[in-house]
Amino acid sequence: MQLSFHNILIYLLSFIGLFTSIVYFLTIFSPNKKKYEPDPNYRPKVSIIVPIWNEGSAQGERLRKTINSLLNCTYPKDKLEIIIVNDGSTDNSLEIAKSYEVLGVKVLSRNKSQGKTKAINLGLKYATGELIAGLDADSFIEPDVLDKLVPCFKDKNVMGAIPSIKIWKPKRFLQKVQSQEFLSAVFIRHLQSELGAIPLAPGAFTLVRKSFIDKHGLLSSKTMVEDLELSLRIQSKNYLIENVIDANVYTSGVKTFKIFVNQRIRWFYGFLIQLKRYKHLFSKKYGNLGVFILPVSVIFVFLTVFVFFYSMIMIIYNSIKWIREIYLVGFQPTNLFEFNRDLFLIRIDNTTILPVLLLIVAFSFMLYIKAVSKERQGITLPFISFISSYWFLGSLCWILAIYYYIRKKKVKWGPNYFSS
Amino acid sequence: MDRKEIKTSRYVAALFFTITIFLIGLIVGNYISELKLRVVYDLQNDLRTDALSNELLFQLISIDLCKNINMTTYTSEVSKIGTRLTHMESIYGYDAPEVWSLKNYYSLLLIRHWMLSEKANELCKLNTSAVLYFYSNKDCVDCEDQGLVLTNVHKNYPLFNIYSFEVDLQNPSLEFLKEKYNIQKERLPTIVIEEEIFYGFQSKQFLIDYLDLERKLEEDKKKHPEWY
Repeated sequence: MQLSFHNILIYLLSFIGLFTSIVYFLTIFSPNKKKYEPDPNYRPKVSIIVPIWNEGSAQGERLRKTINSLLNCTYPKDKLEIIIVNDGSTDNSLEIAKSYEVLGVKVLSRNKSQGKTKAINLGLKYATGELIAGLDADSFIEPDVLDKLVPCFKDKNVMGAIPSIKIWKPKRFLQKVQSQEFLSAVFIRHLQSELGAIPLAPGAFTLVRKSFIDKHGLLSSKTMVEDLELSLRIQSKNYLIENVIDANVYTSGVKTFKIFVNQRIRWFYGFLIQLKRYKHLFSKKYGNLGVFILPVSVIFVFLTVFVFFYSMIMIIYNSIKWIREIYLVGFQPTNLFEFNRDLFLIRIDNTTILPVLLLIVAFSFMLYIKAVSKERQGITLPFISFISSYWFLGSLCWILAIYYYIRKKKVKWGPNYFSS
Repeated sequence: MDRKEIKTSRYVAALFFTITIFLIGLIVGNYISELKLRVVYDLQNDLRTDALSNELLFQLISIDLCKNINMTTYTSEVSKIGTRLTHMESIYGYDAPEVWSLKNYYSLLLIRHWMLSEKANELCKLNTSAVLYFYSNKDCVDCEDQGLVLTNVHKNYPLFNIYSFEVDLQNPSLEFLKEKYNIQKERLPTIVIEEEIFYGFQSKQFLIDYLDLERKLEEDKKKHPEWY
């Protein structure tokens, strides 16, 4: 077997991928997993903050679905506070929100939009719950989510608890990609939780102990990834963030390519900034987070970028070769559909066996996560969509994010609302 | 806080399993590649019998038997080995010893096939055209292009046969051909058509015109419409 650069790269990727997968595998089947059983006697007050901005389209259908899901949840009503913060909407969003006041929903409003983070912070000032969570107006929860998340807080070291966030009925290709991306994140967070090392508790319905916010400050409005910043803040104080795998929260998929890319650039750019800010977390003092989760994340970013450039070079090289072939022998469309039926020519060697092995491992993990998170939607198509495109889409977003980071380029991120 | 605690044993176990799976993957991969080499080797051995039987047939036949002679199966088997060897080259590298010995043997098969088809052409007026193509996988800028052109011409004109020889291969028969046609490494690619030697890259159009391939193809289509 020749040891070309291409082969070495595949070996390296396979080795790191396998090692990470096996650490995860050993973690999943670790015998000392902590379980939080529902406790009817432990019912602290919970405040849910829903920031809204121009949610009036289609008679505010999405917003109504969000609020109704909160009203229909099985958590005791007298222990639940719903606060809608209207962040300077110019349509009838406020009117829709106010129509729920009769059902006990509190509505706060300001005339000029100041962004989602500040809207949540406004809600936090008025929130009276012991536990708080934010929920975007394009998301909704399953009725028993709070019953499953709240018991985590019986442990005084737990400062946050995250549900499984999934895409609701992905239809378009990008939504399928996103659906698999989110399911992978559910899986990874599940494992990170077992290692006591969740670096990111996403904003969508992560339950946080209010006393932590009171003591360590509101959400940072200076960053575009306030959820990541808060999570790293919790980790830097050496507290725990829990994950409850079968507590499901659904959100809408992105509608356009531009939104998809912008969203990821914002996340990745924010990740780089926060990583620099919290670089002290790369330490044994912070346990598995410092020695495994964060270093592996950084290695994967480097590899992603490297593989992207390498793939691009190969694509350009092969295209030039193809154009040269056309120049030499002319274009023959029949050549495009010509396949040699000799099975011998199927490439089965180390450079194909190892990546295929990794794909099988990845798909098995997804089947596992589908089962334990009680996901009813299919995962095969999203998995195929993700595998075929994310190496390009994800890497592209990473490269743009790194470019913005290096150039210290100021980017207008829009109002940072939901799918923007 | 015990979950945050770094369990060294978990990482050591993961490293152990990774290395084990990785090694198993490497061993299985290598085993399959070796198995494939064996397949090529066996195929070449089988062909030796076929070639011998063809040779005997040629020694026995007279002109009247030309209509019963069919080189197609033999040609396609030789060509199949060629394709498979190229595939093995892409896995092992063109100068890997495992591939090199097979290529050496393959060059002998090619020479034998070339001699037989030249004989058949002469005896049975088969209308085929053959080129001997000498190339090198290193230090030859135009060889890749020439290979592309020759393959394409063969695809479009099935009567056009290519016999490709890597000049670095060493066996007495090939050495004889190299000497006979004055093959020089610095003048590659070199093509021999009907005892005429052409140094450097030759275009598709040149080959078609020089060998009058269009006319030969039309004639062959009329003669054997069932083949097209």
